[in-house]
Amino acid sequence: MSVNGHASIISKLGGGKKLTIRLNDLTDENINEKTVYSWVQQGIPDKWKVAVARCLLEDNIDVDKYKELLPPGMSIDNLTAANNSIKIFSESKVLKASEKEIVLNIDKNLALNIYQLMLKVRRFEEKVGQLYSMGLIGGFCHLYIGQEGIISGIESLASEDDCFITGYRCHAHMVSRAEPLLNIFCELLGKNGGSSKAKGGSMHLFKADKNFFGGHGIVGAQVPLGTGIAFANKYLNKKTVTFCFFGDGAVNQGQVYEAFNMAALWQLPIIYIIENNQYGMGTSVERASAMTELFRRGESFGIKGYEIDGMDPLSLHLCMKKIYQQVLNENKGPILIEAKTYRYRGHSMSDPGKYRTRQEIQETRENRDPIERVRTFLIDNNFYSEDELKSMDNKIKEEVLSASEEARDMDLPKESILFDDVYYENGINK
Amino acid sequence: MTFKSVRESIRDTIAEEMRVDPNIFLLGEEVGEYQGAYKVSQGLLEEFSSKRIVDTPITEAGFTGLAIGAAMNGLRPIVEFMTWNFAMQAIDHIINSAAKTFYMSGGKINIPIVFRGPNGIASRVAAQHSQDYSAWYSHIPGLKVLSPYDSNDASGLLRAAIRDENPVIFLEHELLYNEKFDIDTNEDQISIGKAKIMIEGSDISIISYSRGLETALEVEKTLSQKSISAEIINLRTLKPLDKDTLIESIRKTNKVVVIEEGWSQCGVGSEVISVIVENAFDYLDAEPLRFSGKDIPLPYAENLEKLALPSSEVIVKKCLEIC
Repeated sequence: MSVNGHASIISKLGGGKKLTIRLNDLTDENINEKTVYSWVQQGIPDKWKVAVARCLLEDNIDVDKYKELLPPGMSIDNLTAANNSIKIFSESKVLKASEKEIVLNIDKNLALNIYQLMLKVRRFEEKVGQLYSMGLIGGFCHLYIGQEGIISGIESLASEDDCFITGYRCHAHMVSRAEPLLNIFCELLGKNGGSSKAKGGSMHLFKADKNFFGGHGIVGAQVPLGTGIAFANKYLNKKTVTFCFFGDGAVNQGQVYEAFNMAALWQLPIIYIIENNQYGMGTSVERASAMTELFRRGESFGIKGYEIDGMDPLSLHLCMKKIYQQVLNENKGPILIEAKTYRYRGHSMSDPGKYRTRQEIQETRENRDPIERVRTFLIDNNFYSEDELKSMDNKIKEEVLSASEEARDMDLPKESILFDDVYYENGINK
Repeated sequence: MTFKSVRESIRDTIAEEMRVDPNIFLLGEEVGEYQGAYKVSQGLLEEFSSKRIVDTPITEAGFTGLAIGAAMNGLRPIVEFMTWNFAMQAIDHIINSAAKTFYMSGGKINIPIVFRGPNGIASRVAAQHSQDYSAWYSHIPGLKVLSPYDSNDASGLLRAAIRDENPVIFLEHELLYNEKFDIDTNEDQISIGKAKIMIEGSDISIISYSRGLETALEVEKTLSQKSISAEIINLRTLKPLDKDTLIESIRKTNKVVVIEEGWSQCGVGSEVISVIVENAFDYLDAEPLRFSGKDIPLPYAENLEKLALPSSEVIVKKCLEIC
């Protein structure tokens, strides 16, 4: 190919400046603009031809026409495969909104919504912890304390039509989908009036009328289920996004990757969110995962992954909002998010806590707490005074206390419901 | 009356139901372009397109979970397992996600879904590809378990399964797919939970399901030549079991024989006999007879495979001893 041909390739790829940036992103080498400009006169050196061909392929510029760029023995198909992997690897990354972006894009109301939901979840979970310690809640009970930034940053951008599904750490998702606190308390206390008629308990909470599909007790099971919820939305032409939450423990379950494969194969409108609280029960991510950059776990399926700080709810909200729009409007699903977070309490209430130090928990609480972070934002921007926030907190505490007291006064479920709801025919509120 | 194979009956019923309800779809391995590993879904892709006849990767746990999620959110999936042996990869979802969710959610979320495919002992494929899962799924509250024998059962029961609002396990038999039977159009839709008396008799009740009925019918023929009148009961539904029909039959004949391909311990036969002993003990004139697959993984060699399954000669001999 003539040097003129090469000059036209460079211009098709947006000129020397743009091409330099792309080649630097694409390869480990450093190349400067001046060198790339020199190719217009001297032709593209052999060493760079494959990388340039990849750029052509990425831009859907007729690579066939430029196949002389490829070394002998390399076909366009090889290039396609190479290109796919390069493209993916270069796009999995850490996302963070800058302080400036946050100030510009998050107004008083939005920040308040996020703050209040976080606070409501925390006060609710603190009360649940108390009731558990008093022996009033049975079985397993997994608290969300420390992780509130994730659900709040997401609920504040999602619509009611969007679907949520998660594992057994599911109290917060019920609160965020606006289930009355009384019903959740009743469920946890095993009382009449519980969200699942006191048949499900802590791990099996559902709010079907607000598209919250539970509350699943088998680690990882919610990932294929959530994928099916997204499949149905696509099948029914519903314009919604499914948010499928799971932990860093679930990421090593085989069925998660079976689901990733189908979601990518069928381009389903789903956002997978790994709530990485650093420990699957008592096993740290490092002791459980050979590759700990969990946001890259979808790469072999072509699923783009992003790491986001789950302890920074406002940044998470802004980053997730862009991704949400892409999945909703541009058919860019599936996407994988790893939200880095931390739980202050044990895995469940029976956690001996020997696998981490008190200091680690203390330091996270003091320096990274998501609620404190947004509180500071609200005060620093003169949206609310310390006193106003204090009285808000008191109001939420009162709401939680009164719901819990009311739930404690409720009766046990009637024995006559024992056989209800096994089959649809004997379902009572079908 | 029309004459039709079990295979075509299943296929035609799926197609008829899919024509009526656009939210019904079929998914599984090789159901589309390959036309079904056992050709059950032949021609469906052409009529309903790849949106509704969904070829999946080999990923049973994944696609079973996916289908259950879709059922939670408004669709009515029919999941084909290439054979039920492979559903063991997915049994967690069938039980924990499909069977229990309606109860655990206090009746908020029901799962209208059919899991179907060939079950039981195939021919010369050895232990991992030959097993009867009837007892496994019959054990689980929240599931309905259907086991068709002839073409009539296949279409009538499948129609009921597809229209049901609960998860339904539909256990076909590979060795019956090619068998042709008359179709009784009066039984367009068969009620779940009802057994069928195939032949009325007065001396002994022979109870079976699926391919076990072939053996039962052979036994009946031989007994009738010896002037013994056997009543043949096709269970059709394994869960919920039609206790009334069983009890009534034993009150009449006073003797019971149960035939199944599955293993005996905690099997369908043991359940049927328990029901009879609990409810019609005083009517029994002889010990109940239970014939089942031998307590071994199914062997490959032709002669050994045959030995591992209930044989009509042995059953006839035992029946004569008590009649």
